[in-house]
Amino acid sequence: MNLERAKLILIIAFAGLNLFLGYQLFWPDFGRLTQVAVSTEDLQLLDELLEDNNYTLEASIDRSVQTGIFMTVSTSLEFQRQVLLKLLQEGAQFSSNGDATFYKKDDKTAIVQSTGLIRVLYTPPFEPAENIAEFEERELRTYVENFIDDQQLMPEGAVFDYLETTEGGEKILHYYQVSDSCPIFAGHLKVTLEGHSIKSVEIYWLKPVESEITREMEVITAPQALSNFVRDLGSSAEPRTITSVTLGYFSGEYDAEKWEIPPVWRIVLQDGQIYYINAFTGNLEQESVVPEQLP
Amino acid sequence: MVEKIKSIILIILVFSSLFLTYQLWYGQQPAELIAEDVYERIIVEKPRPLEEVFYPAYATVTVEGGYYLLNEADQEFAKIWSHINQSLQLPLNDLPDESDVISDENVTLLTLYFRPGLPTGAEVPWLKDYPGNIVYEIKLKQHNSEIFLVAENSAEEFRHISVVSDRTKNLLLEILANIYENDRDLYFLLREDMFYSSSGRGLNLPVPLFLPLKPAVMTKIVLVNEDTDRDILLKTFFVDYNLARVIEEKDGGLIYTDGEKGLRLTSESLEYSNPRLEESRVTFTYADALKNSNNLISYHGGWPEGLQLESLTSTGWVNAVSYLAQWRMFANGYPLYTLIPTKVIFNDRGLVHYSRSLYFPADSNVSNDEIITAEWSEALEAAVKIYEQDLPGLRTSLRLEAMHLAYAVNASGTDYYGEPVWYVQISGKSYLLKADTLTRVNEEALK
Repeated sequence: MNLERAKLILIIAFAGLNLFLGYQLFWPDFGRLTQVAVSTEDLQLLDELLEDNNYTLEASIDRSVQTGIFMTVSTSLEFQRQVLLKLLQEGAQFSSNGDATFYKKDDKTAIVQSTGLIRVLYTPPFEPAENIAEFEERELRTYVENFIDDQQLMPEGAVFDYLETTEGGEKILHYYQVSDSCPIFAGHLKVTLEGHSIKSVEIYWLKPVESEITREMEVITAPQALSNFVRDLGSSAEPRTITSVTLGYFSGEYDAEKWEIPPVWRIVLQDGQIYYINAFTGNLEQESVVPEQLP
Repeated sequence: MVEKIKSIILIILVFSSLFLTYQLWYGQQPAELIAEDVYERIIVEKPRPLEEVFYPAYATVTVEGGYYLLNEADQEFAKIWSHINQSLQLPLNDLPDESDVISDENVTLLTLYFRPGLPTGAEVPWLKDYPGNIVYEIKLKQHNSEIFLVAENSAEEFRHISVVSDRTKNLLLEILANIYENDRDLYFLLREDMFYSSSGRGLNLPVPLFLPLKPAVMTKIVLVNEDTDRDILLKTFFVDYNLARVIEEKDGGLIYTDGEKGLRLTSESLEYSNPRLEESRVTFTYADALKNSNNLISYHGGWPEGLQLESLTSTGWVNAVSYLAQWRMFANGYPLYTLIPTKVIFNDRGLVHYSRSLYFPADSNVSNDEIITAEWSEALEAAVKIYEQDLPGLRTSLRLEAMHLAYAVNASGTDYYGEPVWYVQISGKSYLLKADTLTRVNEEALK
């Protein structure tokens, strides 16, 4: 055997060995990236569970493995400042009662809560020239969005969520916050219409804050979230339809410097009810658990 | 040329295979996608045996003209309790004729008062042959040449009498002789006929109250922050520490919550709450509740110096029954009144609420600002006036449930101190009055 032939054999042998070692080292993670977290069997089991408990799923389910972090947020003071500056420039008078500050100019009053929630009330309600009560949803949205833009009340990253009609006949347009393509359901904008008038605008906007430590963790799957949802709520007496299951971030409103918010699966029902399942713990997110002084 | 390239490729392949083998052999860390193992071992203070942490609230030694009041601040108190504690743990000896001992109150040398009561039976170290009873008073009585221990509950439904061994008797008499030799503040037992308010209302006394015969001399005390390891403390409340998110309050406090339970930590206190566990029952006995409350303090922060169990009661309603244990910090023998005292609520499902102040008296805590306290009758009169202002029109007798000198915890900037006060509790309403001027201290403004 000559040296050239020996070299070739060795190259082939070592190339094979390297392939084997590379496969052993990297396959688990490679597999995780391409892995489908939700199998067809899981979906069948979920369907059965929902059916047994009087729920119907009419939403698509994300089947990939997903991760999340605790997102650190604070109240968006920049947006608050922008709203209030405009009011002051218009000549608004302000007063305070401890928990809230009031800015009043003619028929417009802005109430700023210590949590950062801003509520702009129009008294009497603002009456547009057009009869918006007869508008279709798309037309109404366009009109309202132009109006809040004009009023400089539209925060950056507001995405239309849904239109709610209350028992009293009021129409409420709901928007939620999106930051870096990530829904933050805790941040919201609500425009309330009464008849053909605009009654109020409510804004609670958050600002993601750079965090020193980010703990990336795998989140539970959408079927797991739905199973927990059924476990926590129990069987429904009336048939209920689930229209959307989306991963995003949610928490209560806090009068705090900054706070972490967990990833959640947002479950929307056809009747307008919205539930949030913590995507790390699988628990239903309810009223914030903040220790209170003991009785 | 081709041969050179082949050689280079071969060398690269050899080295890369060595590198990959090393990586595989010594374990390359996979991308961290799942929370690290959270069930790590947390080293907390070992629960102390019940006999080490359970103390009488106070003791009175009968002397001419009144009583000496002893509590944890006195060395003699610890010694007396140590000997009686041991006697109560020994098998019972022959019971003497009760009537001889009970009939003569004059022969009472000292009385130990238990708040909460001392449980008896096989589950606890004391009086193992008397299961299921609770002792509120233990009297040490001398009759002829013998010394007897008389343990009884307040309703006198239970009484145990035993003869103290000769060795213990001698030791106890020696301690008492030391106490008699030293001058101490004299106390008296308050009787209902001793006080009538300026509005003409008399007293009702549900419990024995001992008050100083003369005004006492007290000083402000200095308090220091407890040096707590927040990470360890956090891990004792959250099994999965990674799933707790943080809320940073504007005042610098931190709230940790996993959506089910929450813990608020400030520089001066901690408060924990797990409301989902509220709906439960308690199936354990009073003695077990006592052990549990002791364990909970050990697990969640340990025992600060001077902390004493003040009460242990059952609380709640039909489907949400729990035990409420309350502790009080003591300094120089006086209790400290704080905004967030140490409290624990627990049931069969676990810990529901926990709160605790995170400071304790400094080693050299006596300042130079001595004050002379107001007379007990002046303090009581001042408290009655506030009570009558708060609840005008009530004309029943005054149910005086507690009255003693104490410290109210306050702060000046970041410095914490205990200010001498009179604590008066009338018909469930409590009042803190500055010990010298008797001006009211707002309990909500305490630290």
